[in-house]
Amino acid sequence: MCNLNLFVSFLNLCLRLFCGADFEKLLKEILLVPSPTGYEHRLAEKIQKLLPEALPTEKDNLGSLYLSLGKGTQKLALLACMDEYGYIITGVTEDGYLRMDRVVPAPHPVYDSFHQGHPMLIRTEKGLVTGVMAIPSVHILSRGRREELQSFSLDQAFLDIGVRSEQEVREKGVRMLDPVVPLPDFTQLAGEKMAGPGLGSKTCCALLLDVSGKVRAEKLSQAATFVWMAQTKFNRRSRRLTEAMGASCVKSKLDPERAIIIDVFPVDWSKEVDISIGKGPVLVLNTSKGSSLGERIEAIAEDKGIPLQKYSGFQSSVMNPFLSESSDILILALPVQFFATPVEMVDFKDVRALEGLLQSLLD
Amino acid sequence: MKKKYMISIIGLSICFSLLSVCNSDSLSSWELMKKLVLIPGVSGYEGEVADFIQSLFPVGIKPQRDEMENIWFSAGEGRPHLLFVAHTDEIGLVVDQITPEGTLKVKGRGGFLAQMYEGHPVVICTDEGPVNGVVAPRTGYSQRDAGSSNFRLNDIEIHLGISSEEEARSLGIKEENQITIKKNVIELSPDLIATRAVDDRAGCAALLSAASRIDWKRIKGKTVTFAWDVQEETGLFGASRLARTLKPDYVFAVDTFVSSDTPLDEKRFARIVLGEGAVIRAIDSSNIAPRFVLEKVMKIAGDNQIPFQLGNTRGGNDGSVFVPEGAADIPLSWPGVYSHSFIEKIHRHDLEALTRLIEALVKDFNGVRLPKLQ
Repeated sequence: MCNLNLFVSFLNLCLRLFCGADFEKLLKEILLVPSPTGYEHRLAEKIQKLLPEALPTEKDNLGSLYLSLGKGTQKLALLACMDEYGYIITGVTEDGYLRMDRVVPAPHPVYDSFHQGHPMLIRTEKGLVTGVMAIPSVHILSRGRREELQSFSLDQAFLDIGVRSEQEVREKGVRMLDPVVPLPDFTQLAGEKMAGPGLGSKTCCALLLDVSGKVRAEKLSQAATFVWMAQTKFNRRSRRLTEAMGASCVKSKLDPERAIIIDVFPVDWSKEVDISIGKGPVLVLNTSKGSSLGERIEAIAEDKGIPLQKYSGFQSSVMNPFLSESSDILILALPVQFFATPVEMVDFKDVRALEGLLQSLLD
Repeated sequence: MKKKYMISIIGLSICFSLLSVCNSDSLSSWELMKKLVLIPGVSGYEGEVADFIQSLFPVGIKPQRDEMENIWFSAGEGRPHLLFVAHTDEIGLVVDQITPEGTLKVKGRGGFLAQMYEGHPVVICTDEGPVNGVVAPRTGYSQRDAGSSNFRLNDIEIHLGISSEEEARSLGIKEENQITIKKNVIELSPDLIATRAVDDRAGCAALLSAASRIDWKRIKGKTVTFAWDVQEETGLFGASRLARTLKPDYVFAVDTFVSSDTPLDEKRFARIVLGEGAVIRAIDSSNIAPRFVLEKVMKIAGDNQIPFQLGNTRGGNDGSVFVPEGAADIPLSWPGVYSHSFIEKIHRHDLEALTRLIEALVKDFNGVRLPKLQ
């Protein structure tokens, strides 16, 4: 996989510029593990390996990973989402092209079109296989077909892995339902920003991992459980609020009184929202109901001079399962520009600020 | 001692790097192409590509270069005059405007689907070095009706991670800087790659590789010119400039044969298979190669046991501008799919067959005697 080796070298360089050596190592390892919804187990294994060996972890039936530290009657859960958007292999044509489907709904109407004519990565049991999403040649396109291509969807998607038959597909190790994601290619931008596919959620996972490794369990005045959740983009069938399946499972297992969800905040998904990248993490409260956890975070931010943006009224399928009269739940989000595109943009000033807030809260 | 050791390692690295393109005295077209595709050279900005190619010209020949950055050399003398030409430019973008918010609006160079750029990283080539950017997705891309609007060239807006025109200029960005997609060479297999600018760096590489294998002192009874020209994608401008000075009898334009060997393209024409040899591009949108010349070229390919295919496709070629001046244009190609995209795919066997075909024609093609009028 010489392609990936190149990306790893470049990634090393970017991350070294933006963050400390420990966090750099964690994020690099996490960014390169494809984890579309339902296929998070490799990422969970990677996170488990990156945790200190002595720390006790467990998993639930969906594959979410739990790490419990400290003792006490009060319980605090810190949660991050492991899954990213992607596809699965659902067919092979006679001449060796792969067909795909999605496991969860596309995050927005033009999601598929970002991938036509670009490289993709398949995770197989034998390892990673690179392919390209076929695109017609401009020279031999009729004007009518050219217009049709603007509404590209999975119906027109053929993944080319450079083979000519079903037999060769099998020889490459590609099987039905293998997961597919955009090639993890990350770009360093000016002003401490970086862009790449799945960068927001993966950075949140790495942050939680970094913070969990730095917490001194014996000093914790409460029981803290760190959870890397699977299947957060897949919603349970319900007539109630939209609830992420993975989050519902975590709720039934932990039933935390207080929870902080470390998630992304898509800054450009609503015109009414005045939140930007580079201006600090976003404290997201579900209702106007007071939150002692939120007040504590605001106090820390003020005390430490950490920039913090605020937003309330956000509907989140990850937060919904935890909502109850007695619970104190909030999202502490990393602002992300161009979320769910191959160039999700993150400002590493926000990452450091979020890390500072979490560490101060646990200390 | 440590310093000595380091110098040895650096020396060895350089040797290995050169060895990857050089085999004895000849250059590998496949390895050359993999290097050439990564050099930025949007139409009108081919200087760096020309420099690289010229640095590998055969020893002892006299290089020529004009103000447009066309480069060429000739050997032998007299008629017929054979011209082999490949173009150094690629499709891409140019900075049109730096906005007060520090984003970039662009102009296009060549024909492509603008939506390929949406949501992808690009590289702006400034005098101070490359600067990374990303093309923003369309405004309101997450909204329910986002798919109903088309993404056009005017919609391309590049974000650099800054927020003012002043910051953009401090990065070295200026109007008219060239912009390419962030290039990756995707190795689908050891013999198959997909990347940007295979059109026409593969042609450039085949020509350069053939040049390194030919004994130029032995060209007798004809003139042979190898040229690498510019601005093909925007209107065959470099070739038109060459046509003012070079008056060949036969032009072999070395460029992509746009093949329909994909699951998406109409198979009624251009049905030439990747991996089955070079292509003699008999008919395209700019030229119909004379059949009697084609027969001669096919015979030489056959005699030299070079696998080849014959086909018709769309698109133009540089050789066509020499036809009104009296030359016959016989374009030589490899089958290329996903043309003018960021994943132009090419098979090693086809490129190597093309390189051998160029070499064989230089050796064996001495023109075709025209049928006399009765």
